[in-house]
Amino acid sequence: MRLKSTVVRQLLPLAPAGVVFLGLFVAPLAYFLVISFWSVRARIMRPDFTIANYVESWSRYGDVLLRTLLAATAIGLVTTLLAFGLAYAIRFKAGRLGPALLFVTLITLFGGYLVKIYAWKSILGRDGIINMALVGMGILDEPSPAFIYSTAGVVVTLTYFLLPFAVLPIYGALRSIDDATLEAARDLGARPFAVLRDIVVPQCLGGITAAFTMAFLISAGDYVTPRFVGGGAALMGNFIETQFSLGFNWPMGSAMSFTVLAASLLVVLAFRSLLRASFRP
Amino acid sequence: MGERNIDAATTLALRSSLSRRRAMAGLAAVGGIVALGGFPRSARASTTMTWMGWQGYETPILTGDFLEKNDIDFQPTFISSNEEIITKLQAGGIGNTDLITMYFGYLPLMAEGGLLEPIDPARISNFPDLIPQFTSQGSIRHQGQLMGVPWNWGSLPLMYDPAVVSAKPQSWLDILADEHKGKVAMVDDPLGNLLIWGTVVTGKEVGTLLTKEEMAKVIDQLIEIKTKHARAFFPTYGDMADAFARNEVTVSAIGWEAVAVWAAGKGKTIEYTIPKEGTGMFMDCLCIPKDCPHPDLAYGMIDHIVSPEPQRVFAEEQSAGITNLKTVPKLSPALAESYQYSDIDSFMKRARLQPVPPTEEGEYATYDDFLAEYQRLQKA
Repeated sequence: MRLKSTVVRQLLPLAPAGVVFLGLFVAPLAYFLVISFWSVRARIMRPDFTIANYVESWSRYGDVLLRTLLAATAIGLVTTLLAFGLAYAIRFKAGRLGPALLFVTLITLFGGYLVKIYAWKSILGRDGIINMALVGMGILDEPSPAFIYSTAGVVVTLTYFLLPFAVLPIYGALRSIDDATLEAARDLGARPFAVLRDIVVPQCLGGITAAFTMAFLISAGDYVTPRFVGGGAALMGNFIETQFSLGFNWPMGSAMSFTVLAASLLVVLAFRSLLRASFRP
Repeated sequence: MGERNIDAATTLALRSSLSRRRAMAGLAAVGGIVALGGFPRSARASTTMTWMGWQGYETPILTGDFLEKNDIDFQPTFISSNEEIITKLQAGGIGNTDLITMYFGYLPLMAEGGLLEPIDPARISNFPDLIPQFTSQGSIRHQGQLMGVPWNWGSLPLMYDPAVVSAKPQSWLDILADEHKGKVAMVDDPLGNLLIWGTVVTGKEVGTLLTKEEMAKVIDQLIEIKTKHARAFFPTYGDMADAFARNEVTVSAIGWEAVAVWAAGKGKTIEYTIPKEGTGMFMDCLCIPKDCPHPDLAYGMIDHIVSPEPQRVFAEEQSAGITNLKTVPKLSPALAESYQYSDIDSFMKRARLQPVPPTEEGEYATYDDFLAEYQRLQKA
């Protein structure tokens, strides 16, 4: 009896967070999972149990799914690489400027997502800073249309947006590395690259995986940036949006969402395994 | 404005306020922002009425004393696209929304999807005064019942940059000339594209009623434009205006008079014309969503919006086309002329109101067929 009341007392403080988690995360997700097996007739959802929506998600949107995963993987890798470099510099190279650098990195989070998209539209456009600089330096004869309204534009914009999110977990992991270990390695004759490869990276695999996962998942689900910067480079999110609006087909949209989720999990797990295999401590 | 008997400068001036409205709507478009508030909420108002529509469309509601007289706390939700209303209604808006404004073409789908209440025209005193060419449209009825009350309209002309395009385009196909390669503006407006290119590709007057083969040909043509001629497939008309202003595009595969006004606001002169094949026309309707919480007040609000004075204020302030015939004599002559109220039939021969593809299988490709084909265009 006393054990029971102790357990209750320990769990009680978690109850509010649990209710919020269940109500705002688990319940909606469960609802969409259930209706993903339903069907639609005459624009109205009908309770059913069919896997037709999943079959169609793969058969009809397989090419878009692949394009989405490739774009998201590219964004995830570029973001993680840049974030690692930045976090490494803040942790080991910037000295007393480190906190200031970290602050500058994080302060970009205060800018709105859409404001950043529009800022990059201006930067990448025909009359943007990049084109003007390249023309001014004589590298281009006239402004290039290639920087915006392309998948490359989406990669650049999302990488910029996601960089602070990716820096945080990597920086957190790097902070926990004991300087004495690094000094010991150097004292024993390890070259800087060997220290990085054999000591630093293996000790922050969790942070790197978290950074990649965040950048990858947000990119795989995004449909606003491709619309505004991609110039027609539609990714899976855009087609899911169509099913939920014009298509009147929430079951199909839900099945497509879970398909992306499952495929994304596979990519994240593959990345994690690859990383661990490559940098085994 | 080409064939309309009004010069470009006058029309731009007339429609300048429209730019502000749509520019603000464009901001909402950016994020699908639900902009609530901004309207004084009366602490004593006994009834809260919720409304969904474009920013600026609330003008007639705020005109006069309808809200005060009925002790209403008016709560608008501004949209970035018509489709957003469909999504919001499906996602919990039913039972909580009193009134919406919707492109007429979507009414059959929404009615079939159980999103709308039928409207009794006898309860709208101004209904007999509305332009019959609009109220007689089949698409605003479902199984014989009225689903929406027409209240404003406009067209989808071809836009071009006169600084680059010396001769006014005569045909939509003129945009495929080599000189425009990579400089054609497209907008991701599914029905808008079909309204125009359905006619251009098939030669049929109604570009939305096509066989599956014809529908595929239309999408093939649009894919060719997108992949070989377009600068980009812009998400909104506001982005198209920006592209014109930045000299990224010279002609458009779809248009809207307002684009010229927005571009003018950025210092760029853009002109527009209705090519020989004609174009599509839009008409927005007032609809009562299913399980509307205050149906009597919703009827009252509809009647108020289509009454002469609120229609006049809306038309003049937003430079829009309106539907109450009793309002037309009250409009400034230039505005009335720009919308050719004196000969709407001939205007509607060049800019045609067209239904959405049918929902039932039959002679023509269905709406679902169209949507599947359109996604081919989005993928391309």
